[in-house]
Amino acid sequence: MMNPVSRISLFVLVALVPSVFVLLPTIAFVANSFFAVENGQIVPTFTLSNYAAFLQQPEYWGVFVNTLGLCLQVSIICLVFGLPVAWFIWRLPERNRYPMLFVVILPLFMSYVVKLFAFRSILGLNGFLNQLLVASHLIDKPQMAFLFSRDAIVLTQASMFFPYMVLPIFLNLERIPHSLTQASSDLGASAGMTFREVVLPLTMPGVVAGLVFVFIMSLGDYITPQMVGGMMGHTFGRVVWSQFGVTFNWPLGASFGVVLVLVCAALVGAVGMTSRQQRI
Amino acid sequence: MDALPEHMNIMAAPEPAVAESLGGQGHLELDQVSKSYGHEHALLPTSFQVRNGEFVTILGPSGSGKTTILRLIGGFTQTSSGRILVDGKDITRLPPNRRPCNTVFQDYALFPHKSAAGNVGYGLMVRKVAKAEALRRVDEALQLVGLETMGQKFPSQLSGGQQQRVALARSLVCQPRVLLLDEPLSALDADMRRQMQQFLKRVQREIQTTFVFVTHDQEEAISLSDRIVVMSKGKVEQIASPYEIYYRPETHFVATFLGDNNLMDGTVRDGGGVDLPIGPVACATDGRGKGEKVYAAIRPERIGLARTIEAGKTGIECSVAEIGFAGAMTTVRVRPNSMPDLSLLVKVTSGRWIEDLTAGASVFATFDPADISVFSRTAP
Repeated sequence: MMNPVSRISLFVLVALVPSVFVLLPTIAFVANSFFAVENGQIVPTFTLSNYAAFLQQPEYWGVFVNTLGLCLQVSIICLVFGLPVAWFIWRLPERNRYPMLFVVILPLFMSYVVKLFAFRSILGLNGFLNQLLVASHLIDKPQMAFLFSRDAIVLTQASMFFPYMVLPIFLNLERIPHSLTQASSDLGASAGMTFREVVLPLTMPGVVAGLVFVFIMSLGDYITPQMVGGMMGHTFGRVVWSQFGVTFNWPLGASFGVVLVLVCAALVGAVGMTSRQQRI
Repeated sequence: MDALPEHMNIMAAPEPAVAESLGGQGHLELDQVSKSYGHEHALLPTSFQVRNGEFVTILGPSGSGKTTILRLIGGFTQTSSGRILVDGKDITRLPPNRRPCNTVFQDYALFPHKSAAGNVGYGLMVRKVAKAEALRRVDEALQLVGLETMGQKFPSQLSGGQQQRVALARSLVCQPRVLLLDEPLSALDADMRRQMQQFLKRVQREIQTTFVFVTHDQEEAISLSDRIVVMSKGKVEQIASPYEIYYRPETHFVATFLGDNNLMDGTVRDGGGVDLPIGPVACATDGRGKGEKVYAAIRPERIGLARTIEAGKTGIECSVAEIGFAGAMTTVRVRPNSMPDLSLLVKVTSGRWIEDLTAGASVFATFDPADISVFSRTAP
């Protein structure tokens, strides 16, 4: 048994690291969003002008809405490809299942920047895609259109965040007892019906988790839009980044950050609510 | 969950009209069916038939191939050889969803996202049965298993016994020719298990569907079945009525797997009877030739104990080695004075004089030679 003094000091010790490195910065960050900037100096007064700027200026909320659309697009593409892939891996014989899963999530072990440069060289003017299309006479000369477009961002993000969709869906599928699909077949259901009536409903938590993962990561990403999006890659992540790194308006950037955090938290909360209502 | 009124509910006999619309009496035949995985034989070529409306139990320890048989009939595993026929129709190559059988799974395999009624109605939904008829049949099936008020509950809100009954109703609503039950009671506690046994037997009697029931529990097999298929190491040891399986075993495995038994080495005598360590006994030898090495088995409760023996009756003089009181019955281990190395287990009804017995006491063991069953010492 420990005496109360040492118990309290142990608690303080354990709580110290998260408080100093997570809680305090978050508080400072939220506080900053209510500060003002005068003559390039942060003035610690209370003002809502940063949030007002976000709501009033279309170049901010417009970009924000566009970015949400982009993230949704990325998430849906990941789902459309991720669900069949996860299902395919799940149906493999046991000894092939985990090696195949490993192959699919292997890109996660690669550096983010390396992957971005790979996409640049695939989509670029002298890139693989252009060469392929020219060689097959589908186009006359290399096009710039692949790189530095909204589609390039969607494609790149969908590919990079793909494992985050496959993984939760696969793990969810793994939790479905085989006897359930067998029972469905036993009761007369075809493979398609079994998928629709048993597998899919029981996989919804994994699907939702995958969607949230991909959506949130896509929302926070500001490097991909810059690297493959060019001028078209003006996403909200970059707007936030530019407030800190270009215009040095930290309070405005912080308020945008708070908006991002609130959207993500609302998303996670909504998902948590719906999944609690399910009986799985 | 399972309060008393509900137990009463289990006992309620289903309405005859309800029973008629569920299930059918299929005739099942296995013709040289086998299953092997590489060089591992899960099931050696096996043939047997299950008659219309019969309750057949496949009994064996784990790894005996009993579940393999059920999975082969259900279509979840492909046969390596042989044919499976239901009502004379070859179903060996049909997928599970096109077989006239339904399975009650060991873990019930209820769909967690569907209500009890949704589970029961699943087979009707995939068959696109008209809504009104489906509702009526689901109601009937739930009524049959005594859960008519639980239709809207989800599996997670039901007790083990209730889930079990939903699984049964879900299978029966599809009107299977043959119902397959894969150790359906093994997850229940002893009390619930006994109730479900009675319930299953009653349902089977009412709806007259052919049941193939798999279990490793000997008592369950004996009390439920019309016939028992005893399996060991992928092959059938004996197929017979519970009484015959118990009192007329044909192999060493059957004689020792079900309950206590006294087994002695013997040799067939010239002109009938068997030479046993306790002396020659005039028991039936089923036409076995002189000198054939056999086992002779007699159940402990078929041996009597007496302090004295009347003139003209035969008894073996023994001394008591061990006494075990178990309520209504007392087990006594005795050693024949002529063969002190042999020990016989005797089960007698408890009584005053048995109570007074002490180790070392001298008693006579008596038995009727007709109660001794004889079977070959070499595997058939």
